[in-house]
Amino acid sequence: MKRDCMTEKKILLQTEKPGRYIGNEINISKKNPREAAVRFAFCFPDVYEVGMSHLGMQIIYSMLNAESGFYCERAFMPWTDYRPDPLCSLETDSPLGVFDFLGFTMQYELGATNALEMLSMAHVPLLASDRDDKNPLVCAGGPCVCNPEPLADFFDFFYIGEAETVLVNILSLYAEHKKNGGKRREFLHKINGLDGVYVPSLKKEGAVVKKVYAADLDAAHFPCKPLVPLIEAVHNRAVVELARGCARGCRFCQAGYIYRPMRERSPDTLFAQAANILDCTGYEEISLASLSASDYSNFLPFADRLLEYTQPRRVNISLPSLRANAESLAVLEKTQRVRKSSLTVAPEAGSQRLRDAINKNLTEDEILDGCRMAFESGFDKIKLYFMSGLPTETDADCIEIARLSEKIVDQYYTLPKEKRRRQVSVNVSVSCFVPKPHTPFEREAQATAEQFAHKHRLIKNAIRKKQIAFKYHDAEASILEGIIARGGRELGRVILRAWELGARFDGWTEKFDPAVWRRAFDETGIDPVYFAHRARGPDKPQPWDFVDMGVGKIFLAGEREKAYAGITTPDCKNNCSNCGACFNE
Amino acid sequence: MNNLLLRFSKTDRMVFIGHLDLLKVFQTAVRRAGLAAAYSKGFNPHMLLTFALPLPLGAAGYDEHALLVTERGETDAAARLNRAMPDGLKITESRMLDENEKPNAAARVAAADYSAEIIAPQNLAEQIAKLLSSEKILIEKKSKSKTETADIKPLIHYVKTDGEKIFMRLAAGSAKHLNPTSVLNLICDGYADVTRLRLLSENRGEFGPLFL
Repeated sequence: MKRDCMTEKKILLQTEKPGRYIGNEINISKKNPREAAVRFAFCFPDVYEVGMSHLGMQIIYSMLNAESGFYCERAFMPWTDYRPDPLCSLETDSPLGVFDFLGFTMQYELGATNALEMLSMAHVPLLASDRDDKNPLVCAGGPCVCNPEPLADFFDFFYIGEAETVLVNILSLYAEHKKNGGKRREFLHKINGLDGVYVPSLKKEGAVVKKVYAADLDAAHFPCKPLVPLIEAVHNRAVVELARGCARGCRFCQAGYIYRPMRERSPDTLFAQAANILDCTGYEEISLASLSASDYSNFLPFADRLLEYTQPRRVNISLPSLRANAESLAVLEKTQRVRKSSLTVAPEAGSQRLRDAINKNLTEDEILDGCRMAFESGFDKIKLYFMSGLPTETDADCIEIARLSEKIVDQYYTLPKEKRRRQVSVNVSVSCFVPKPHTPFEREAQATAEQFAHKHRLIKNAIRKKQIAFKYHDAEASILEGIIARGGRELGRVILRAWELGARFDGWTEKFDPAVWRRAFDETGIDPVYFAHRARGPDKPQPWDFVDMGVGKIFLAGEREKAYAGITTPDCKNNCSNCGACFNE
Repeated sequence: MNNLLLRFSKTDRMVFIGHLDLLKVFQTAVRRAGLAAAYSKGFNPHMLLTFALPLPLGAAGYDEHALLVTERGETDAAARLNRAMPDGLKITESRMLDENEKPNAAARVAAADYSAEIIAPQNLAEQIAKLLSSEKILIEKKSKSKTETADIKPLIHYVKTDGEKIFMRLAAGSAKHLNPTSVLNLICDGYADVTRLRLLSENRGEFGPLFL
């Protein structure tokens, strides 16, 4: 064995999980990079196990590699115990600097410093303005780029919307451009103005960038030969995507608005994909992904049909997003080969008044009935997700979180004694509300750290039952998330400074250091309070106004008013409220 | 009962995949290859797949053994599995065990042959001679609750060198087991690249293959 190879092996073996860095997965794409007209490195700014569980990565990887002229490879953020020099792709061990494109997916605002660290490890200049024709084009997509401004300094262009639509076109344009010896500057001019493309260096006042989306999911590319990791990922299972978008319109939920309109895949397509994926992965579990699985039309007949296929093959069906109602529980009962004892319910707010204000169309009776039925069918752990700091929230609403949790415990004790095998446990988890662009609450002031602390104390002190465990999220990380989500281009200076000061893995509680960020704000002279805690007037321009995500501004403003008036908006599948997403052609 | 014996090598990048992950890789490969694996009964059935002896993380193996219980006699299992395996895992032999062959891969293991490479080999022969000349070779063994001193000399069948590489035969298996790194740490400093060349069974003092 060569000596340098042994040294590399030794270094890898000293890391916590060497399997993160070796590639070699089942269904990996093997091509000769020299024969590829366009080399694209899909970059995920978090660890391997997180990135490998991300459906979007599998879609883009499979879609680009289906084209003979393109080679899409992958790079993930190495954990803090490993810093390769330079950062290389998993497929061919190529330094990221030699690629035509580095495409980042920005799933989470707090992944920004990791993206910078990956560029740094790749020896690619962090600022788009410092790059030249020798460097890759660095682009980003994903939900965070629906307000691209805070990241605008670092990326040559953004891709806004869903990859299935025009990403292949962009790469084809580039292949042509490269063949003719074109420069990067000219290429950026060429793609500027295409739907879904935003080139920050060419931003023109008044120009609108419109998101792109796959109108027909049955026609959209789906990875039927997904990569199967060799080490345990966050999720080790097959995935089919029932639907994209959500008809519910919960007013706090960014995904619920930016992925509109809601589109479903046909049962036939899903069934064929499921069978195919299970055959070529060997997985023992398949997840039916969507923002709200039980809202899928004819969900029960589809689940039954799939069960007929999966049961003899010892495949479990997992349903990550169910509403707690009788129908869903019936499906759960049938689909789970291994019975889980824990059920997750997300009332989001404690009082009916506040649930109405945020348009979480779920009544207390529905919640309590759902939990009772769950207890009856053998569940004895319930996880409850709530948010604190929601618009219009009062102290009384916070205390209602405790009351509702206690009522759920009481539901358990309505069961006859012989059916109560163990002590019930109710885990209450409270996160901090983060106002996001393109939602009705995009202009709300976020609660301050002190206000969040007060709310968490109120809830904690109001819980009187020992069966309830209470947990809450870190307010400082949520406030930073909100600042980056709703910031302007000046935020780039803060992100860069925080990276220089050593911020990495800010989304990981044990790695997040608020002091570093406070210093970064200080040194760049940018006031975090201004971005986080001021209410933004209805007429004031916002950094993301030029991005058209489909849902109209007037609709969003109307939804905000309805929130303050406590008026709900019905599910849009049966009652269109004219948000604009479907007719925004 | 149908028992499918699988001999395999684990090399190259696969040395970074630990034993539990390897089990998962095999399970999905068996399913992809369409072999009729048998499953345990009960609420949480699992594939009846066992390995003779886990390989330490980082070590390559050329004579690894697994047993899969199947619902029918399978032919051509090696070729079918190899199409489903990642690079670095190769089934070198597969056959259904005869009825009179006990499907007890783990219990058969008595010793293993290793080779080891180190980054800068120096005076290996001397170091080995010095080590073997002592009457007892004491090492500290840490368990969860306590640290014990143990004499590993009886567990070393041989250690030798050609000046570059080290070759060892060490006791292995569930009864008596000696980790190759425990020996290597006494001979040289730093990282050693370990390969397990053979798994051996013992019959009246004679070492031979696990399955004939």
